[in-house]
Amino acid sequence: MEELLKNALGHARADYAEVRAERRTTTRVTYAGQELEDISSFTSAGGCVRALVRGGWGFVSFNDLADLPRYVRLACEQAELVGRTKSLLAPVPPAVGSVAAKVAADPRQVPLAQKEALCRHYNQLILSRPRVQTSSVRYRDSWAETTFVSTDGACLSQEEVFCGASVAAIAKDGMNVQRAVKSVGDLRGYQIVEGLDPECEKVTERAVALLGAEPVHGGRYTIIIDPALAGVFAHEAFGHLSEADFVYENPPLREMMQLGRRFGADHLGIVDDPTLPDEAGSYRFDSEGTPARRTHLIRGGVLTSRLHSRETAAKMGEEPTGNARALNHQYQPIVRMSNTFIKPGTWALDDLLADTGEGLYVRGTLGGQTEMEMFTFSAEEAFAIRDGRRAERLREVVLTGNVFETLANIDAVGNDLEFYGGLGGCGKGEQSPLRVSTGGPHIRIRNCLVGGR
Amino acid sequence: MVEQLLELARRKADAAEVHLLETEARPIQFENNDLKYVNTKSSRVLSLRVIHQGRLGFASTTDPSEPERLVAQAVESAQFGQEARFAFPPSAPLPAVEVFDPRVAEFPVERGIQLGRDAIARVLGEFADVQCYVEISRSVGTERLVNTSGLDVQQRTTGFDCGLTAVRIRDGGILWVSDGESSRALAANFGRYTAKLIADIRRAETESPVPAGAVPVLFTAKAVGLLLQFLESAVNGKLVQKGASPLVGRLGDQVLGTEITIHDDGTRPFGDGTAAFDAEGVPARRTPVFERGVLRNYLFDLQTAGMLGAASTGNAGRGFAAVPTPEATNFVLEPGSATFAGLLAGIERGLLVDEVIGGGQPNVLAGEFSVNVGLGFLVERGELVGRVKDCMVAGNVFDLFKQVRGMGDTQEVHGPIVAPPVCFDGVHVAGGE
Repeated sequence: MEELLKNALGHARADYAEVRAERRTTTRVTYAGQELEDISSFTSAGGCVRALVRGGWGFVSFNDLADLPRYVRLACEQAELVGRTKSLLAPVPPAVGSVAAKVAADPRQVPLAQKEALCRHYNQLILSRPRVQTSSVRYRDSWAETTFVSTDGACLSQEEVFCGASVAAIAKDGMNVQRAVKSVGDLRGYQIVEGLDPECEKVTERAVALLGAEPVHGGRYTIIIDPALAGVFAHEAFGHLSEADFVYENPPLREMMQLGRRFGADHLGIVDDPTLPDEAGSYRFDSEGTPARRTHLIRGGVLTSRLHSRETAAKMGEEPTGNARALNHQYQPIVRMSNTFIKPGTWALDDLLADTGEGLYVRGTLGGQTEMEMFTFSAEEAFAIRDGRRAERLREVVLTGNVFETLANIDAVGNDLEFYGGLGGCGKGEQSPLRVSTGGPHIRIRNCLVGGR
Repeated sequence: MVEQLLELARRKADAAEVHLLETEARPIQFENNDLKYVNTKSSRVLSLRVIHQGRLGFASTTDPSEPERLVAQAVESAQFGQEARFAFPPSAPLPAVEVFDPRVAEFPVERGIQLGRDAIARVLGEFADVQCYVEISRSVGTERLVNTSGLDVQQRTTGFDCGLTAVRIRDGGILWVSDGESSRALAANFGRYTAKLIADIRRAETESPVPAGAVPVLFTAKAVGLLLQFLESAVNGKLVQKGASPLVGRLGDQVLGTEITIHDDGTRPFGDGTAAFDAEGVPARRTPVFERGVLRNYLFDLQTAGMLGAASTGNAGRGFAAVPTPEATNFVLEPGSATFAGLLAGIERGLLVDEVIGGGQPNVLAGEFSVNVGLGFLVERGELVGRVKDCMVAGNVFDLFKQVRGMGDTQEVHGPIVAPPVCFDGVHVAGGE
């Protein structure tokens, strides 16, 4: 394979060119309500060529490697149409060698019947509870082998095995429909999808309990968010702004995200780290062959670094960080996060609640959206905080705000730290879901806007 | 490869269906006012669904070189699969629909580059401090579907997507505005999105306070799409079959206001969701969903229909390499009689909402929404005053569509959603001082 790719690149008329070839097999099992909606496998084989000519990119993705020389030519011709300046890529040592996946329990060795039986068991557990209208149980594993060759001398094979599952309960009372979900997924192996009975119980209880909750009143609140929501906040609201492709050719944004700018109090730290072992966003080399490394985005409340591809690093005069990732062979690498988290502080949760007095305790997220500096998150569950204690349950809690104001409004950071991977992932451009994890401690935010009536 | 795979499957399973989708797309991307990428993306997905001993099995691949393996995988999955409540359909007459525009198929890359450059130059001519992002993509797809009941259908489709986004940073605040369309036909007038963006940027230069409490809110045709998605989920055959939709058992009931008529129209000329046949080969049609507020039909594929003793409405969709599942084609809200100016003039104090930020809503099924207003304006005595920031609107879609204050007389197409602007009373706004 490597020789085939190298030979094809030999004819590239470009300042830089690369080929990625990939083979990926995915197994899916999905229960929804009583029905097994999907039990299937998908094999994807293909590749892509990316060429850089005078600063312009041409990209071609395909299924048949047999036509590779033609695709290399096409990518170079397309880059020719774009390029008008100078090609700039930060130098990295050429990645050579192979990286094998290592999982404790290998999902490829588990018979399909066993995966189906596990999902059926979780599904029945959820459906057997009163007031549960329907359920969703999803299992997915994937095994990918990628070969990467570039005109800069890279020749790298990487293997990855991902495995995960999600369990969800939907409870309904007339027009009131509530759902609760738990998702796990990372590079550890099949064992992480086993033993989820307690999670099934929890989502079932939560969905039913939400039926009886009162909708929240819209307004501004002091809120405490849990590690799950803190992690999503770090990734969605802040992390995307620290992706260099967002700012590198945009002078006003570059100024807004200038290194050294203070974003929060001294206790605030945010990190992206693909080198954590076996988390959902972990890897050894990114899709450009740059070695993975830990990046401190915010340290002591101050912006200290950002995430780069080789191109953004060169254009900003900073070091490449190994964050250029492609979802699969159909896409070009773009700057992405990996495992992104808020660093823990000193507060115990009980002290934080007691100190807060009145406010909202908001846990998890069902989803959200960000647009530049503005973010919106739907909470998975929420409680009023009254007299320094967790009080009644509330529903339809949607948080919104400006990320810069919100980071500055974080006035207490908890002493815990948890990571969340799962079947979801990050979406950027059309590339979704890319495996990532997010994490953090409990944190308190003052003056946060919550939607509602 | 399709015939060979069907033959192999016929020997191993009681019945089989082979679906082949080949597409080639050529996206052009501008970033920060300059051309950045020219891409060619070709992909092929070969899917096999079988019914064996009464159960459904499925497997898919991009690699046609191992058909035996694909058959073995599909048959293995049928050991566990859901009980099939339908038979693969035989041939049926297909409607003549417009899904292929030769102007799209032949659209030169150079022309796309020119369109993008012109749009950016026009915006920059008005505002030098704006950063523009443009994506223009044309695609050609060939879809073939054959099954062991004798069905053998094929269609060639085109797709043209164009989008323009402008970002302006002033005084530390960011304005983000975006518009465009996706259709099977060439965009007749990309310039109108450029003009709309320029007008939006200008209008947003003034900031206004957020009105508090429950006020009238006029949603533009684009913003109405968010609300229609809730109605679309409520009539999705799968959610009905699971009992999760609040509209279960309500066929024939007056569930929305009498102004509301919605069709699912798989035959709309060059619509984003238009096709001669759906993902299972069922012919496209126009299905009344709500007629003058009365719920008329749910949207089914073969399996969900079979489970509920109904007939497929031709609404089977297929995600990439995925099993068929019900989805809307083009979801069309019929227009009302008011002009946009008239709707605006009728608002004493309220909001105009054009863009919302609110993916991942907590309670889609119940119709509850709570979204940030990405681009919205304060309306006072029928006049647009200025942009509102940091505010949220919330309500219940089923309640709102029972008391519509007014509907525009002109529809706009936003991908598979076609709608006029709609004005509602008593939408809750949070964020006011």
